[in-house]
Order: sequence, then C-alpha cells, then structure tokens
Amino acid sequence: MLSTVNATCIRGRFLIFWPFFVSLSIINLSREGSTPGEVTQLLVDVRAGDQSALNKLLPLVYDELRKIASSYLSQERSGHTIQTSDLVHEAYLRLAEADVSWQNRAHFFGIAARSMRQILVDYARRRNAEKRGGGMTRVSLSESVLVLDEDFSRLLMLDDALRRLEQVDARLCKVVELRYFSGLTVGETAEVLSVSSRTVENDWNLAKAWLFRTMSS
Amino acid sequence: MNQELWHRVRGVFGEAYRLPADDRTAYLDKACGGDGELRSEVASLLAALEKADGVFQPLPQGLISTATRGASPDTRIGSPLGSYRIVRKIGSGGMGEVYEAVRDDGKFQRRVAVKFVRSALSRGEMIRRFEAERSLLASLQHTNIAQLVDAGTDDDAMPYLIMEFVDGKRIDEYCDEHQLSITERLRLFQAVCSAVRFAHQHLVVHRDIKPGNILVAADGTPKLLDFGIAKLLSEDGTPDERTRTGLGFLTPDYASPEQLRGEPATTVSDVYALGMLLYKLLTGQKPYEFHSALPFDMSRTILDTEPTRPSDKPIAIAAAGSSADRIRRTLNGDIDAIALMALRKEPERRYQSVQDLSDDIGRYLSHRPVAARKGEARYRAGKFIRRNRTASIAAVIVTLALIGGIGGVLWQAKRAGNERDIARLEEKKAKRINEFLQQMIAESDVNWYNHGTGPEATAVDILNAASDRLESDLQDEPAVKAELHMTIGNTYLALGRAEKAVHHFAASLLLRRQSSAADNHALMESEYYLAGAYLHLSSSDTSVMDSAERYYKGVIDNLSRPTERGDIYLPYAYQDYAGMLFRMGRLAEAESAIVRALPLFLERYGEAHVATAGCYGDLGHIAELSGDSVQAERCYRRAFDDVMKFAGRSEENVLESVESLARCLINRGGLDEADSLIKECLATGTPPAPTERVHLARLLCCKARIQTLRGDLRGADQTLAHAKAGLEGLSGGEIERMSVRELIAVEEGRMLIGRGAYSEARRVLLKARSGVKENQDRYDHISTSCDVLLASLPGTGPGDVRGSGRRSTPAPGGAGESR
Repeated sequence: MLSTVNATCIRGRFLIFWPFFVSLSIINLSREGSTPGEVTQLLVDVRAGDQSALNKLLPLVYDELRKIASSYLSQERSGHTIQTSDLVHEAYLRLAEADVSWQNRAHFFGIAARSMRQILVDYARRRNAEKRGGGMTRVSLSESVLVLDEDFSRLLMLDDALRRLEQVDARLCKVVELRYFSGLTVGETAEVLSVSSRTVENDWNLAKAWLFRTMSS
Repeated sequence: MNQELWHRVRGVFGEAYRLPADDRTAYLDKACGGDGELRSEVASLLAALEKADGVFQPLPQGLISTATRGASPDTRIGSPLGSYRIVRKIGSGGMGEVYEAVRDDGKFQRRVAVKFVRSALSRGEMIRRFEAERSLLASLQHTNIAQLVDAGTDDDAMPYLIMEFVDGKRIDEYCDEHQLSITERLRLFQAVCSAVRFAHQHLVVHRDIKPGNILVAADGTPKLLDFGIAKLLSEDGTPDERTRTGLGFLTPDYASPEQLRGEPATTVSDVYALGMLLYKLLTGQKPYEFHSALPFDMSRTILDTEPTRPSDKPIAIAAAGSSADRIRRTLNGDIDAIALMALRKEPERRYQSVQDLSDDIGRYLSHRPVAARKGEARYRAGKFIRRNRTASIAAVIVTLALIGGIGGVLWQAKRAGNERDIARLEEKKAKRINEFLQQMIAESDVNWYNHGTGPEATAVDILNAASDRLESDLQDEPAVKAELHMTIGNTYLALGRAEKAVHHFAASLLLRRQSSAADNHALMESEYYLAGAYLHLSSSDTSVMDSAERYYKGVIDNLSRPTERGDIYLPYAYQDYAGMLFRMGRLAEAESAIVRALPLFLERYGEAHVATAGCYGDLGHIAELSGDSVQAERCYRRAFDDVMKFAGRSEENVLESVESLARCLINRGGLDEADSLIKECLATGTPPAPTERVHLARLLCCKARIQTLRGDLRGADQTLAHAKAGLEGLSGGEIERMSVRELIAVEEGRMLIGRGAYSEARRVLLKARSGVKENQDRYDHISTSCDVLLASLPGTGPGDVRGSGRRSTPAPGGAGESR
C-alpha cells in the first residue's frame, strides 16, 4: 500500500513542465532534418542556378518557419505576438547559423520571404474554400485574435496581382515579399537585394500603386 | 508593356512620387517630353498611389499564427473517428489539437470535443494510463465539469479523449464581457469550487486549473475542462536538467509552489490554483510582479516573494458601475485575506479543502466574519516566529498571544454590525488590546528574556502575568476579553497546564454567555474547548469527567439544532466525547457518538479525510475491545485507506493507522501481511519529528512482536533497542499519553519469556503494569497484556496478577495491545 504513495510522489514530479518537452522535441526534430552546412551548400547551389537545390531548400525553409511558429505559440506567453520577421530571422539562424556570407544570407531571405507568402496564401486559400457559401464569418483563434473572411479574400487578390507583377518586374515582387510577407525593413531589403534604400523605397511605392490599380480594375 | 517602357516608367515614377502633388504635373511634362504613353502610365500610377494605402494593410496577427502553425493541410477534418465525425478544429496548443466532432445516429446529434494528445510519453504508456484512469474520469458527472465521454486511439495509434463539447467563453473574458460585479464573480467562482470539490471527493486532482481551462456557457454555467488530464500526461522520473534547459517550457503562472519544487500535486495544490484564479477574476492581474518571462525566473519569483494584496493591485477588470477605486475598496480586507490564504506557499497553511475556501467566500457574501481574517493574524505570527527562531520560547509565546489576540479582536469586531461601526469598533478594540499587551509585557519582568529558570518556565511566568492582568482588565470589552481568554487558555493547554486552561476557557464561556451579541459559534467554541481542557486534567476525580461530559453534551445538543447545521464543532464534539466515553469503558455509547460524527465529517470533507479515518480508527478500537476482531480489522483497513487517500495526511497519521491495522492483523494471525505493511511503512526513511517518534516506537513494538512470535528473539531485541533509542530526548505528555514505554516493556517481557529469562521478564512486566497505573490506566489493555504474560510465567500464582486477570484465552484485551 505504501509503495503506492511513493509512486504518486514520483508521478507528481515535473508534471507542469510537460509541454516543455513537447516544444523541445519540435526543435530537435527541426535540427534532425537539416544541418546548417547542408543549407549553406544548397544556398550556394541555388546561386549557381541549380533549380533542384531550390526545390530542396524551399520545403526545408517552409517547414522550419512552421516549426518555429508552433514552438513560439506553444509557449503561450500572454500578450506575445508573433511577427513574420521574427520567424524569418529565426529560421535563418537555425538553418544557416554557421554561414555568414552575405550572398547566402540574401538568398536565404529571398527564399524565406517566398515561403512565408506561400504559407499565408495557402492558408487563406484553404479557409476561403471552407467558408465559401457562408456569409461574413469570423474565425476565432485561441489567441483571441480575429481574422475576417475579407482578410483572406484580400490576401488572395493580392497574391494574384503579385503573380502578374512578377511578370512585369520580378524585383518589385521580391521587394513586396521581403517587406510585406517577411517584415524586413527597407534597409534589410536593400541589403538582401543589393540595391540602395532609395531604390527599395521607389520599388515599394511603385509596386503599391501598380498592385492597387490592378486589384481595383 | 515592353521592358524598355517599363524601365522608363519606373525611373520617372521614382522621382515624381516624392514631389509635392502640385509640382508633379510640371515634372511629368518635362520628364516625359512628348511620350504620351509614358506620361499617362506614370500619371495613372501616381493617382493609384494616392489611394493605395489599403493594399498593404498589416497582416492580421491571427492569420500569421494560425497560418504558420497549421500550414499543412488538416487531414483530420471530415474523417470519422469511431462513431463520430470530425467537423472542425477548435484549437491547438502545447497539449495537442482539439476538434469538434458530431455523432449522428439518426435520432439525435451529439456534439463533442475530441482532443488528440501530444506528449513526450510513449504511446503505449499513455494508452496504459488512459485505461487506468478512464473509468475514474468518466465517473466525474457534475454540471460544472466537462465530462469525459470516451477515450481511445486512432488509426495511427494516437491517443485521444472525447469530451463533452462546451460552447463558451474563457471565464475571465466572460466576466469582463458581461461586466460582472465582484459579487457575481464570487458566485461564479463558487460554482467552479463546487466542481473541483466534487472531483476531489472522487479522488481526482485537477493539477492545471487556469482561466483557459474554464469556459462559461451562454447561460452562465461555468464548466471545467481537462480534469485529471495533467496527471495522465505528466512525466515519470524525468531527469531534472530537462526542466531547466532554457527556453520553451510552460509558463508556471498558475502552478503552486510545491508543484514548482517538483513535489506531488494535491487537492491543496488545486486550492492554490483556485486562489490564482480568484485573484485574476477580481483584479484582472496576477499576484506577482515578474521581472522576466523566463520560466525559471518566474518560478523563483513565485517561490520567494509574497503575493501583493489584491486591493493593492491596479484593477484591470470591467465591472458594471464600479470604478477601480470602488472595486479596490470592496476587495480590501476580507477578500484580500481569503485570496492570500489560498495562495500561501506552505500547503498546510492554506485552506485545507476547496470546501473551506468556498465556505469562506460564502461567509463574506453573507456578511459573516471570514475565517481567513482570523487565520491571517496567526499566519503572520507564524511567519514572525520562523523569522526569529533564535528568540526564546517565551518571546514567541508573548508574540503569539499578542498577534493572535489582535487578530481575534478584529475578527470578533467584524461580527458586530455594519461597516462604519465595525471600523470604529475595530480601531477602538485594537487600541485597547494593544494597551493591554504592552502593559502586560512591561509588567512581566523584562529579565525573562535572559535569566529565566528555563524557557518553558519563563513562558508560563509571562502567561501568568497576562492571566492575572486579564482578570482586572478590559472590563468594558467583554468580546475582546473572551477572545483573549481563549488565546491564553490554548497557550496554557499547549504547555500542559490544563487547570489554568480550564479556568480561562470557563471565563471565556461565561463572558460569551453574558454577551448580548448572539454568536453561537463562538459560544460553542468556548464550551468545546472547556470540555477538552477538563479531559486533560490529571485529576481522576469523577466530577471532572462529569463536567467534561456535561459540556460536550451541551455543545452536541446546541449544534444539533437544524439552525446550526454544518457547524464544525459538532462532529468534533461527538468524536472527542466518544474518546472520553471510550476511556471510561462506555463502549456502546462511544460507538454511537462516532457513528453520528462520521456522516457529518463525510458531508464536510468528502470521502477520505484524516477526520473520517480517525472515526474509523475509533470504531476499530471499540470493536477490538469488544472482542470483534473481524469488525476491527475492517475498520482499521478503512482508516488506513482513508489516510492514504487523504492528500493532507501527516506522517503521524500514516504511522498511527499502520500500527492499528498491523496490531489487529497480528492478533488475527496475519503476520505476513502485518510484516510487509510495517516494512513498507518503515522503508520511507525520513527522519521523524518528535511526535512521530512516539508513533514510530509503537510501530516498532508491533515489529518486535512479530519477530518474537516467529522466534527471531535477537531481532526483537534489536528492534526494541531501536524503539527505545528513538524516544531518547523526548519527554512528557505524548509518551505518557500513548503509554509507549509500557508498551515497549510488554514486548520486552514477551521476548524475555521466549528466551526463558523468566525472572527478568517478571521484573519488566511488573514495572510496566505499575507504569500504566501511573498513567491513569488509560490503556487498560496494556495492563491486561502484562497480566496475561505474567500469568503465563512458570510458578506464578493467581495472587501475582491483578484482580482476576488470569484468563484462559488472551482475547480480546490480552491479544490487543490496542489503545
């Protein structure tokens, strides 16, 4: 009988910390999937024009972003808001921490920005499909933040317009991805794209005007 | 558009948009020359830019978090799960994903929540635990608990729980959204308490009570989610380091200090979490100021700092018609005390049950004095004592009396009437009592601190001074005086001066009887303590017993009236009265008193509590002495089970219940079970506190007896030496009360008889028997055992044993070294 008591004591240990193990295992998983050296090599290959390297890198980055996001969220810090820029920067640190060459960094951010756009748009598309036929429904999230249907629609329209913009001027599209979907500053964007800040500002405004005109026509 | 044209558009646009609107036309004229296409394109873009702000609206926060988290398509939606079909995802977090599912069997549709559980545990282990806990959790059927419907594993062997679907809002959000008043919030909180209490009665500890786990339905019914789930998922024996490796573990916001220290979560840990919830509902804040969000730092803050009083916090709740100032005034005092009592770091100093917490809130709501206010002063006194360990006992006792007295007075004052009067009264009484105590200390020679004849004697001196002074003082404040009499009486009792205690309790009773303010509970308190003090008198005069009996009966009659329903002194009076009857040999009456106490304790504490265990133990003793060893064994088993189920048990409770059961088993021949029971109990190996050492010695006597009966006389000798060594340095009441030395002597005699050392055995047994007599022969069975053993010695005539003590069969008394 008394041994039951002891068992209870042991069972009681650390019980409140269990979600920690969960998030820890997520981080470990992401480390298992790829090593910084591997990512660096892929980045070099991408720069050398290797399309298959890009195809390998994209899902890596895509997964990493999601994993980082869920590890952020599983901490459930009250009042903590998640920013795409945090995700992208952290993904870079995780996937390519050993690699500091700015060319690779630029490439990485370009890819991460594209992934980020993809993640958001994929989600919006799925939600939009689910909601089709309904009125204006709100999606209530555990963080008590609301996303409205019109947010999804607007995002999908923007994505469509961006696709067309890319045909006209690929750099403008990149600026939008980096600034809007990845939250980089003008300076960071300029660094990634190897252009001046003024150019980034010009591109940003031109893209904005162009996209608005396209979306409202 | 061709590349060349676009290139020029970009160039012109880049300059033009930076210009003030008025200057743009002139610039375009110049820059485009005659190129109409270029000009119209740039002009169109510039016009678009003016209206384009909406294009890059900030990404919605929720979109980022859900999209990034749930980016891979959710294959669960739409798929079947047993007889349910998953409809949509309702949430996800550290614990796993939660979905809504429906069961549609034609007749009715049932909505449920399905929780797929993520855990570091292996699936096999989790399934095993689920199987073990399932029926227990499923038995929790209560209006305020989201019921567990089923559990199982899906096709991928992923464990899931199916729970009642609750369509509601988080409790804190609900309160603010509906702008509930403080009173409404307290009532809602009480409903939550009733659910937790119900679960505790079913032996389920929640372990993870927090606002996020309590949803309030549209009709205002709160529902607790995830009962017992934390236990299902807790880690077994995981190495320490993993909890400390830095980022990522759960914020310990609502965890109790003992949980943070890695100790087991108990029902009292749930009391703590409820305290956190209460605090949050009333202030919108947490009781601690965290300087960092690192879980380790947060834990330190919770463990090392005192929570802020709710009324000292910036109020961040929305209650209709109440300003923050007004809320703060409402919280000040009683509510502060209640919240802080629930949040005490030491589990044993919190409310001992959820019922107690809820009752105190009930008292507040019905404008009666709350227990926490009384406890508050004692608690502060305790803190003071712990901080000043080096001070003499005398200093400590004076301080206790001082603080306890004041606390009592304030508490007392609260009963009197409306608030303004109370304020005035409190002020006046506090002043009076301060004066009294200051004079008391001044008059009792200051030399006590350095030159006492011994710490205890000095303490008694000071008490005597206080006692003398109280006789002539405070004539105009009978309520204060009565309260101080109680304090001083209790202190005397603790020091073994029962006659003085009787005097003070009687004085308190008299004052309270004369009082015009009807406070029956206080009156009964005096009477109950007075009866108890009589029992501690060393006089064996029958008039003493008569007095005790008269007062117990008085308390019992008074509190048995329907108007006094639920008063805690009633079951305790029954139980103590039974103890007295038992000692007087009136077993049938004792039994009927216990039988009355038991349901009252059950009603109050739920199934397993040390009080109910005590009742079963008493019934066991009665049965044992009546010769019904089958019934005795049954009762002792129940007592033992209750003690083991009771989270707040002490080591003393365990030892006592094991000893009774083991002793009974030995008498019934169950040596093996008794032996293993004792072994397991002794294997826990913590150094016992003084009061535990007495019980430990008694348990060792059982062990020695088993060894003697099995012929291991050497072992028995060692065990008894061990028992005696454990008593070294102890003195006084407890040893005498439990007749431990005599019990050891009996076993020594038994062992010596086994060795054939008859003369030695006779000497030891005769000494034991006279010792029992000195102890007022309260443990009649010990002298009976002595008699039986003495009678078994060769060459012993009937004249050597007391009375007609020679019995052919040792049962019941001879067999039972029972109380």
